[in-house]
Amino acid sequence: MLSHASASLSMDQSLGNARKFIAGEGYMYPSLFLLKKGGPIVTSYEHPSVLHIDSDDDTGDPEKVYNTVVMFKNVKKEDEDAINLVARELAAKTCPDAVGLIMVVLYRQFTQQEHKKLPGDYQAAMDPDALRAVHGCYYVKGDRDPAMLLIPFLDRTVGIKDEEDGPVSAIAGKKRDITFVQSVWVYKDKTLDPWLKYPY
Amino acid sequence: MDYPAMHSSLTAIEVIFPGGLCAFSQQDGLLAFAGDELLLYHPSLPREVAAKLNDAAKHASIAFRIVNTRNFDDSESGRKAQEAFLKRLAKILGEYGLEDVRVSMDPCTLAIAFGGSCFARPIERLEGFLRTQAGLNRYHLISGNGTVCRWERPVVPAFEVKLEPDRRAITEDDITDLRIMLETLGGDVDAFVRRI
Repeated sequence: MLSHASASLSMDQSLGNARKFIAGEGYMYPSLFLLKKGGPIVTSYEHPSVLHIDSDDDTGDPEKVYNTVVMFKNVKKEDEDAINLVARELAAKTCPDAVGLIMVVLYRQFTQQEHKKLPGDYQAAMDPDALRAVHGCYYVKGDRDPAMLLIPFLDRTVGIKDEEDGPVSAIAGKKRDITFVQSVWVYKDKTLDPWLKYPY
Repeated sequence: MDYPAMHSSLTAIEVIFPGGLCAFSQQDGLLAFAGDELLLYHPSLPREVAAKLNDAAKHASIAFRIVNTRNFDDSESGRKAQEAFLKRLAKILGEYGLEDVRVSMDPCTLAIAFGGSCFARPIERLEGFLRTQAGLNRYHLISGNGTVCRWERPVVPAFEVKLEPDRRAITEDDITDLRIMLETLGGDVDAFVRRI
């Protein structure tokens, strides 16, 4: 059985990897994390929305929290449903101790009134729509309350306006310009609902 | 922290820090939420930039605070110290029955969020443990309703060493005093006085 403390630290590590990936490659596909203490989850699973599945190798360490990552294609409304469907099916099939999700979401944009409240010198300094966020959430088996987190980041990479341009590695000569703000796990978040529903 | 406050805080750093946020990140600058404020760490923040940032932070819509230390930063084996700390923390949480907690390890601050059922338990003992941990400079504990308590290791003020004495004009009395001192020691006093 996995405690929340262990699950949060394991997801913290995955978030760190996600940040590095976003800073380097630019685009991160939504990823589902299946955590299990003491042994890896080996799964063969296919779904039209799933791109790739990768599992930690077995090191024989009974205390290690093993991770299986299920990577999804771009998120549209039907993919959001697919993430929850796949999470439920894999939770039933593999019995992980915890299930989490990490994905990039668009942060809420400034309203005109909010923008007007900025100090005058700063109003024109930055694109008010440039703020995005890495959203993380997870559930430990038996607890329906999700832990959530939002890591806002500024992406001002020249020439790349949104994810429709595709992975930045495919666009020659573009240098990443990304600044992250670190954030912490909370039980409730006023800004965002969890994208993942309780999968057990 | 709400969206406008965060955005205006980031914009302030973008405007004030030389090279903007991009340079700030590349120079190992860190930004981290700690409850309702944004912590700002930079390994060598110029004094004049810090002053400008502190001025900006007085604006109502800007909410960041400059910090000078990171957790587990004062040890060469910081990573090992952090791993050892996490093992001890997990043991302590288990001993106190504090299983329903979320731990976020950030270089700027350690955050521990408590579930509703376990927050009534003796948090003081956990705080007692945390405050004795070498290398841990900052933490905050969060209940379901928001930040409950935050702690920061007090910074010992450095002694100011004056390297240069106050400059003042040499008076006739000074020269007389010097002449008397040199005469008692012997030597060519007039030649020495002419030289200075």
